[in-house]
Amino acid sequence: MSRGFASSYRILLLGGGFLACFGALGARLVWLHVVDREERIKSVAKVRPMMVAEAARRGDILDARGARLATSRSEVVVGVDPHALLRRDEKKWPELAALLDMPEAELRERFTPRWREPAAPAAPVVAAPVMTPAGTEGGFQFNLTPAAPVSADRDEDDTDPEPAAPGPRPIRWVKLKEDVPESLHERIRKLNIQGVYGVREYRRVYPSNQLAAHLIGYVNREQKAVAGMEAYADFYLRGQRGWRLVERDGRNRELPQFGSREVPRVDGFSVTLSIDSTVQDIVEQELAYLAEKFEPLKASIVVSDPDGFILAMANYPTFNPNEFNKVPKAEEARMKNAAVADIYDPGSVFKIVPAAAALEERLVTPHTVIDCSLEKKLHNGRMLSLPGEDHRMGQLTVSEVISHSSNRGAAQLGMMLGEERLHRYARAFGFGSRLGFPVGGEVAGILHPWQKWYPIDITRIPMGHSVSATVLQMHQAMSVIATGGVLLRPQIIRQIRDAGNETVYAYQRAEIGRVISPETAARMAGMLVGVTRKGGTALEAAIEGFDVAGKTGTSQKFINGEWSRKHHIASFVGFFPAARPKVIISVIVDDADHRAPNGVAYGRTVAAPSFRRIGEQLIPILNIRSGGGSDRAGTIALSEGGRR
Amino acid sequence: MKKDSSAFANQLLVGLIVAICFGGSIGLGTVWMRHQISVTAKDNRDLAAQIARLERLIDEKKTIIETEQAPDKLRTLNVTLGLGLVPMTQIPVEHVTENVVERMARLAHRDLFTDAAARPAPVTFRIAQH
Repeated sequence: MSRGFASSYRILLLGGGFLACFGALGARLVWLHVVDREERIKSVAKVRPMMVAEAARRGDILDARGARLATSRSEVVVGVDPHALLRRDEKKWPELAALLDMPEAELRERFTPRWREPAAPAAPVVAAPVMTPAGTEGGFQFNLTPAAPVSADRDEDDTDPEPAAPGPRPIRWVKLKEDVPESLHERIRKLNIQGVYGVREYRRVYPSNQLAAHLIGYVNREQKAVAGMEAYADFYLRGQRGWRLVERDGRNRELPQFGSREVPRVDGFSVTLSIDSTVQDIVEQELAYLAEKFEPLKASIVVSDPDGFILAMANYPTFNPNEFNKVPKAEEARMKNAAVADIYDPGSVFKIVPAAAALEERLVTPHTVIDCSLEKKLHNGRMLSLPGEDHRMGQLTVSEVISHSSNRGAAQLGMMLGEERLHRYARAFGFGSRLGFPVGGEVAGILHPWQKWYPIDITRIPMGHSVSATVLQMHQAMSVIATGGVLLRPQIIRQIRDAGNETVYAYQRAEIGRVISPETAARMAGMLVGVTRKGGTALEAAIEGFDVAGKTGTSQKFINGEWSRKHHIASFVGFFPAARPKVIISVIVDDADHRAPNGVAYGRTVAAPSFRRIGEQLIPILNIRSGGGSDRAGTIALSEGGRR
Repeated sequence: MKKDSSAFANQLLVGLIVAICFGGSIGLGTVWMRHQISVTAKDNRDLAAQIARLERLIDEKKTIIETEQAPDKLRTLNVTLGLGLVPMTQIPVEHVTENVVERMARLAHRDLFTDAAARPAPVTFRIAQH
């Protein structure tokens, strides 16, 4: 039998040596993993865990055709840790200065390491962000050691991930530039300068500038939704930040294999509005034209479809949400959505309420003749003076009361109804209460309980005085006629979609309640067609080939305790085609008298032409077809006294 | 027969070497596997980061495109470039609400019932000449 290699004592010695080495190694392992475990883990646990937070992308606000009205753009705040800079990177500094559009001397000044004297000890917080190096990916990173909080908004920060040592603290964060686009950040990143960091954040952008500014609202610099749809739908738009708890190596690099917990970010949902950018642009162009021609104090235009969805809503003056912070303090009123937040006397537009109510209650027919030459009339045992007329009117049918806009005729219709019924119908038409419009700080307007009315109010309220309403309320009151007698909730959101473009919620036509019967609505539409025909008060609103139903309004403004004869609110609210309405348009111009013909801004001369111009442009865009000769409303207008 | 006293040591050493090799292989395999897990995790993270980066760049480009398509910018371009584009106005189409077939038939045959159509066509005779 062979003796083998074990015969030599050297082999035994070698084996013994091996065993001894392994024994020593084992002993050391036992020491590290069992005996000294707690101490080792404590030091590692202090340094290695890292929480990486990921900002969620705020959802888009889209128009009905999918165009982005508000979107989020990723931007980077570039900063530097002067203490982490390396000599070898110094030759790249001029290029960095050029990319940042900063003088090299200023860059070098910011790159100079500085220290801050220690402040009084502050209460520790859980997390202090460590900026993402320009060469890595991710958002904020947090170590989990107690330290002072830092924000990317700060120009300098002396937060040190290492345990605090006595003496001056190094300033670890100096801001170089904010609002750096992703493409530029890519180029900075490729320079690979150690110590230059980028903190990513989303900035809100409004690509169409002032288009629909009052509806969209804006998000401020602190990423807080302040106004408009941004604020209303913030819950859906803002999304949810994500984070992951990982470990890092000695060079501060993430070790993805040791990720223990992760909550993925959820991007915000997108909100699709009923606004049509093309219609909105037409409306805003018209407002710009009105502003240039008449220099009004304010003006508002609303366009909606017969289902209550707003196609356009705009006000003059307006603002650019991209530059919301540049609006002077004294002009902040321009950021208000005047169409829902300001109230006006509706004027003659309100006459549709007593007329429709009297028809519905069968007190009159469109043929019923009313003596509009009367100056006084007995009501509830009192002789009440009737309001004045612009020009003398005699015996008029109810249709003519509307088409000629007779104040006395409307007053007598109101007296036929009585206070209680007139008030009830006015409420049913949407006056005196909020309609539930989601954005702009809608107000309810003023319609006092009928028990608190003065005796004279029954003659003034039917002509739109002693009552105040928003533009939207006037618009929706006219919509009652256009929709066949139903008051609809004005809506602006069509759909809410998640990041995967799946519909989360779709808004439908919402009825507040029936106001009048479809037959009464059709008769009213017929009577209102008479307004835009020869002999009516707004021939200027007529659109060739279409039956236009509408009502003018001219109300005096209450200035310095009296009704002014020099300051008026001109309005025209109408729809077309009268028989099958496709679009409802309201134009309200506040105080355009000084540039109006004859110094008075009538609804006929100021607002009605705007209605026509907008209507004509909407015909091809919304594919509106004429009702032709068989228009039911047109027939009523002709046969029932619109024109005798 | 002489008893071989080093046989046990031989076996022990062989066993030890085999055990060390086996344990080392297991250890190396484990280390390699952990390394591969790390590499894969890092690759995944890098890919996710790259996808996110590309999405952000796409978003940025989309925003730039939308901004350039804003109505006021297009109007400015229309003027600057002298394109002469005008807003769309009412399309000159006659909307027909009556029966289309009857209308087409009537238009196609309207000459049949005019006075000219009702008048007898003149009859001419050619006289033969011999």
